[in-house]
Amino acid sequence: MNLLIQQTVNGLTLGSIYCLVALGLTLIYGIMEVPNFAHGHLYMVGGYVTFFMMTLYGLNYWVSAIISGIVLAVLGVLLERLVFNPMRNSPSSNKFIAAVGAMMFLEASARVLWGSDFRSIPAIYDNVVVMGGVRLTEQRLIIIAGAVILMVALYVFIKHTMIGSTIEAMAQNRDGASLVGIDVNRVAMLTFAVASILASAAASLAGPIFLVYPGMGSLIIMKAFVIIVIGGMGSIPGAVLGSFILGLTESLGATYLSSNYKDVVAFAILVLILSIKPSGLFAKGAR
Amino acid sequence: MLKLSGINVAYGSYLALQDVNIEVNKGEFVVLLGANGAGKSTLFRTISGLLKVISGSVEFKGQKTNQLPSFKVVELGISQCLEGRALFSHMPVKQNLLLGAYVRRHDKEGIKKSLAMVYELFPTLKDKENALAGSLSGGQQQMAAIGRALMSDPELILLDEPSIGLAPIVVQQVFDAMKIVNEAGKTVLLAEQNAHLALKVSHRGYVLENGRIVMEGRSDMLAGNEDVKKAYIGVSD
Ligand SMILES: Nc1ncnc2c1ncn2[C@@H]1O[C@H](COP(=O)(O)OP(=O)(O)OP(=O)(O)O)[C@@H](O)[C@H]1O
Ligand SMILES: [Mg+2]
Repeated sequence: MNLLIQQTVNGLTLGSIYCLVALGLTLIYGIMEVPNFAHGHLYMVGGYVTFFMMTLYGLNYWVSAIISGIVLAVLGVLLERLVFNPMRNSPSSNKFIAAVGAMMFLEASARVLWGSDFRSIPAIYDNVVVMGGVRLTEQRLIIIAGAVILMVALYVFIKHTMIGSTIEAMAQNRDGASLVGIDVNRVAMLTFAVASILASAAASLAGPIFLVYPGMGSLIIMKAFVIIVIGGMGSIPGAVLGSFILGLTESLGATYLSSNYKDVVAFAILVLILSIKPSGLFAKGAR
Repeated sequence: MLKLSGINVAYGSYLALQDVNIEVNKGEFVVLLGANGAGKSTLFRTISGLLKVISGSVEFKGQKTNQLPSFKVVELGISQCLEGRALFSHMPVKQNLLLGAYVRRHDKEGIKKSLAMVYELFPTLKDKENALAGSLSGGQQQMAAIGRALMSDPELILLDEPSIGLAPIVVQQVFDAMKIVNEAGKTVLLAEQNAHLALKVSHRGYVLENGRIVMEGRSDMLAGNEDVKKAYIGVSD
């Protein structure tokens, strides 16, 4: 029983991280109609920035995480300006190739600059809390709480502010957005900035438990893709639900089946859900 | 107020508009008649900055606008209700209307007034304000789209075939609304195939064929013209 609770909490932790990455991916997909293959690599760079802020400059964990968010917002906007915006009117295959190129560029740069070693963001919240007989590190609770706070903040931003609602407006009808006077270029930059901040937050939260290394982006982007396909491309509630479904099944699957199957579980769920609902759980209606 | 001088617009190598000259004066209600594929939407998208001219110029209130991005054109006072409505279909009607006022988002009082005006013009929108725009009937969606275009309090409003696919009674309602809007001081440029009604409510008209203006004049004169009758009204005597 305790094991079940323990693994459920682990699943929620995993789901929280996935969720922050998948939300950004789905937001960008919504406005660009192209998957940002480099999104996992923004997560990776976010992890490194936090790591170096703490280890090289001796900054506090939270300060480092905020700096990482700012750096990533800038990097996200650059990615939009230099890669996605110039490709705006190109065929989607060209955009796909550009996005994959950006991804390879980021990973190769990380290997050259920082080497291929596995590093770990220094854990400062590694006390163990015992709750109802279950032992948890504080960091796991921080991950879950942090993700929930960011999800609520994102929800309020998009649903209850004029600026935030421009992201949804552009995703639902680009011409309509242009003709109510929304600057679609600014919305595209804003969306990349927000998505990149979420990715960096995910990496800063995950860093003390999971490791920081150049390949971490490729691993998470695979998962995030599975999630947004499960959830319905471009759907925000779908991305949230998909993340927790994946996090929980991975964690429970690893315990009750075999941890060798951990990464296979993701794809098994993908096949299962798509065979029941081919367009994902929350398919967006026709545009 | 709006002046198009010798504009040419192309899709790739296909020239969709050739040497088009149009002028709309303040307070006028002007109709642009044309069959399917004549280039009406292309012309409207060009005015709104969604398409760029390859030559010629678009001027609004003496200012050249054909280099400007769409949002600047809206800020200058030209609003468009697109063919196909282009609503934010997963948002409630009211949010669609409020986003229509995006360019004057800090003018809370003005937005309130415009919203009341739109609800008065189309009372069904008030009843449906919390319904998702995509769930409305075709006629209601058209009203929502026109309402949204009015929310920026534009000086010039472009309406691209608002009567398409609507029942005759709804068409009449939409045309009446446009007339009220025009009489309230807004300049209207309407693209239509429904010449019979359009020529009744408008002051002047242009006829577009294969990307060229082939006729222009007062609406009563166009309504009496044999060619126009044959091509756009479907009756001749
Ligand atoms: N995106 C596009 N790419 C290529 N050609 C286009 C495009 N849009 C329109 N055209 C062509 O330009 C011409 C004018 O089209 P437009 O949509 O402006 O006509 P319209 O008068 O609005 O017609 P309708 O009454 O059917 O709406 C047509 O021949 C059309 O095929
Ligand atoms: Mg048209």
